[in-house]
Amino acid sequence: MDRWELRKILEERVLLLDGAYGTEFMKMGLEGGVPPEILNVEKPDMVLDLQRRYVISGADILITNTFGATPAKLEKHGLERSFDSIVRNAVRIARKASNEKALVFGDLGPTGELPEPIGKGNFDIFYENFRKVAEIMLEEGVDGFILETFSDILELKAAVFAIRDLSKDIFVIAHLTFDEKGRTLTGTDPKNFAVTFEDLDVDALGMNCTLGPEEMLPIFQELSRYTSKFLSVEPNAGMPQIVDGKTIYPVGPEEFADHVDSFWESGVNIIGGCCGTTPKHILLLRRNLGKRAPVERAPKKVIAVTSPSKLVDFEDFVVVGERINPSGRKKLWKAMLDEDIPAIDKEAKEQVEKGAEILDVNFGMERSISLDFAKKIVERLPYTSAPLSLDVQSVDLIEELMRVYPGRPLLNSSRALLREIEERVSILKKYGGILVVLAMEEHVPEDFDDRKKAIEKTLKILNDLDFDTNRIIIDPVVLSLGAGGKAYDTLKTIEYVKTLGLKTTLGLSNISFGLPNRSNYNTAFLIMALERGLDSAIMNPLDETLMKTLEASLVILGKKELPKKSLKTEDEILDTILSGKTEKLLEIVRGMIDSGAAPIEVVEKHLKPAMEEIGRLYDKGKIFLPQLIMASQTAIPSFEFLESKMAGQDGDKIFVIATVKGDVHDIGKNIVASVVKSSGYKVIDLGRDVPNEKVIEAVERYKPIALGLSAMMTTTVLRIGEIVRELKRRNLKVPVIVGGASLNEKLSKELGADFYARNATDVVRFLKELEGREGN
Amino acid sequence: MPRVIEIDPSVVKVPERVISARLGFKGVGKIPEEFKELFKIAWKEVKKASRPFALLEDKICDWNEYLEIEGFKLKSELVKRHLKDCEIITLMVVTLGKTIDEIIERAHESGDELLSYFLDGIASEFVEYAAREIEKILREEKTPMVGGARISPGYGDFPLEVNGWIIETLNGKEFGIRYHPESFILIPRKTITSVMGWRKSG
Repeated sequence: MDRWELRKILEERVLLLDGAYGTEFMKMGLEGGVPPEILNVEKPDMVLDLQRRYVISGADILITNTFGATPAKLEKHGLERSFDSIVRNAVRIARKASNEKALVFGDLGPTGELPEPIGKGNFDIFYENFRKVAEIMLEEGVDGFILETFSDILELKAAVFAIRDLSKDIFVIAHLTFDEKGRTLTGTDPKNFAVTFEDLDVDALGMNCTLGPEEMLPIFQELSRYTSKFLSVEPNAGMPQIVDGKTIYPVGPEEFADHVDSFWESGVNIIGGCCGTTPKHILLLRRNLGKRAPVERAPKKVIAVTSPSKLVDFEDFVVVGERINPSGRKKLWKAMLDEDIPAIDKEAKEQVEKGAEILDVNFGMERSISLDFAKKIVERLPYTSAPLSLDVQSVDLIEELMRVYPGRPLLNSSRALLREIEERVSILKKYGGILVVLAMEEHVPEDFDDRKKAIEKTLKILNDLDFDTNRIIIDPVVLSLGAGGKAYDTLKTIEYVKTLGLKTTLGLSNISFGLPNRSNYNTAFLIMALERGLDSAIMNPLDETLMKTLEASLVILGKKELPKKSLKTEDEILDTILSGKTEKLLEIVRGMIDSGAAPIEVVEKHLKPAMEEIGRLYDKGKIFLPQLIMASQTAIPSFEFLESKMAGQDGDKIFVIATVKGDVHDIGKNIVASVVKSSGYKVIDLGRDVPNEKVIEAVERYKPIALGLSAMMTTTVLRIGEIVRELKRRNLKVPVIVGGASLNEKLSKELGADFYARNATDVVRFLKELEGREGN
Repeated sequence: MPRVIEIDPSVVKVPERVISARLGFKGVGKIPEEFKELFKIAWKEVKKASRPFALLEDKICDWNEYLEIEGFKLKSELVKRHLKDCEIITLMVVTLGKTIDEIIERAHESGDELLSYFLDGIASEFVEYAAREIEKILREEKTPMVGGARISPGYGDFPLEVNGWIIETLNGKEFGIRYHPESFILIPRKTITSVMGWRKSG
């Protein structure tokens, strides 16, 4: 079956992989330390027997017994001479076992070497190993490939390229293995995996081994959020335990299969088992899976670059360190010519320590630098420092470096010229990455119009090349003031690019080239550019003034928070409420009254501000909903006590709330009522399934500051519109705040509501706004 | 008359991460320490108060533009996608009964909003996992037929109004299960309806 047919099937059906091999062979008598792959030659019937049992159990896909069959791995066991027959036999045995009831996928595992600088492997070594295995498997006619249990994205990339350079028509699944914290050995998390491999020619991404289904699920869900590829998963039968000197896997077939629904809900397309799973596990997986269509997903698009352990998202402002550039730096140039890797390392680390998130790497006169050295730098720095921006001009060099880059790089840059863009896009389509495109054509732009024209041309070229504009960043071109450059044109271009929904970056230091006191110009220009929406800058992170001003500017623009405070505060009242100490709070409040404080003062200066702060903490995700509810519950008795002391005084602000007719869900409404009450308002809760007339009567009677309506279901939201119309008809002027699972901003407006509240703290915020308006 | 299956509450296992997520502890994966005691109390209450049972009936599928069951059209692309090629469907309603609703309400009326919230969240997951137990029984029983996904009205474009048809078809009223005639919300509140399709294997 070819790739395209299989993709079509996967649109409509979730498929079942087989289970473990190593642990099953050990039960069947394979001695510890002996590689299972040798069975393909010495005991093929053992392999055939196991695979037949997987087919009988319902597996749709059998994988070949070749996990450790790369030449590098076989060499460690002295089996390199049997390499060809091990791999060939593996496919033939699996094909025989499948009996045309199951597909046969060639299984490739890692070579056992980690890449430099942490190990002794490198891209070329990995590539060669996988190419040799894949070649034989393709000759023998596998239906697809599965790359299992990889810990490093460079090695996994090499495996993908090795297969794709042999065939564009074969289905490829790429798996990493994650620990409990959701990281691989070299630090990659699922979001990074998704983003890095999104650009590559792989059909499915997934994970296997290390974890049982319960531990693997949240990590799988994270991958599912960010990738548009098909999804595949093979958990272990639990976390292995040593019992009486033997390794056992505690999750039995029934419990294992119970997880099918959870993985299915999370979007899985192919599911199987890894270490510790047996034909019985697969049989029950088959039973619980049945014949299902996969759920449809809408993964989130991310504009980011990656290295093995870091993902840099352009959602936040990104500092790209400019200093690995020998232009005007004799010492650095000499270090490059001398291939002084430690010196480059030092430059890299210094910049990262001072806040650079990406490092721009420029090799100066590229022909003077050896390819080997350039590759070493590009392979090394992402592991030791940060993701890279490859500031390289020669197309051949770009391709060589992109091929070995462990992650998803920035490629800096292309002018808005057809050939330049085409060449770079072609490389990016193969190797992944984001392209920086300059807002200039052949010549330096004279003004904003030149830049605009270049950008429009770029977008047209990219459209013709079918290249996603989420994979480009525009550089609005900064020209030196000293050379007559007009900063305003660059700033205007940034604004223009923002209207297109695209990201921007620029070479900041260009503005001050040739001028004295460069830091002053760089800093001033950065602030102006930030205000216009600049997303990133290639700049000097060692300039302390520049970096501090950047931080402050981002806070002022609301793009960054002030340094975090711990939840523990110096405010006793706030702490008491957050700790849920109802009686203690009452004690404090009574104490204040006994000391002569007016009840209204205690409410306005202490309780309300505390509840506002708690609302803010909830909005920022520092506390969860149960903590918000607990805080409200804690505060309400104190509010009620103070209210009793203020009885007879004017100024009760009343809030009427109800769940509309036909709707019996009231938990959300109850939470809102509780939170609003604990913010100092009097709440008239009409309950649930409330007829329209009763709502109207309550508004007439209580004359509330606002009316809150809750509707959970699509079948009940229309009641809101009915109530709003009736209020208007009777000339009852009361703001209406609405909320509920079926509502959103747009629908709420269509129904005539004044405010749409996503949660209880939104309601309190609207009420305060209304109070503020009344006061005016 | 529908088939009735009573579910032993002790066999219904809900992973803590599921309840934690339902209760709003985003990304935590478990119930935080300061809420553990309350969680244990609420969990115990839910189990004690729940009388989970299911009503089921199999129907023959009639495929035209949409799936039709005895003349009733299930107009939904979601149904088409997940029940494609099915020859039989099982209509199902699973409920925890009304006592748990009363306990949730009582907690709210006593002012313990947090307990009410915990009871409600746990009970919502409990009925879902009770439905999964029923699903497992059916998959076992119906072998060699192969089941598809279990889907419920309210998902995607599967109209909520179908709740009414399912409850009527299964005689839900005789078992204390109703639906609101305007909103099609199910009563008792911890009740879910679903359909599952069955195909020949191969």
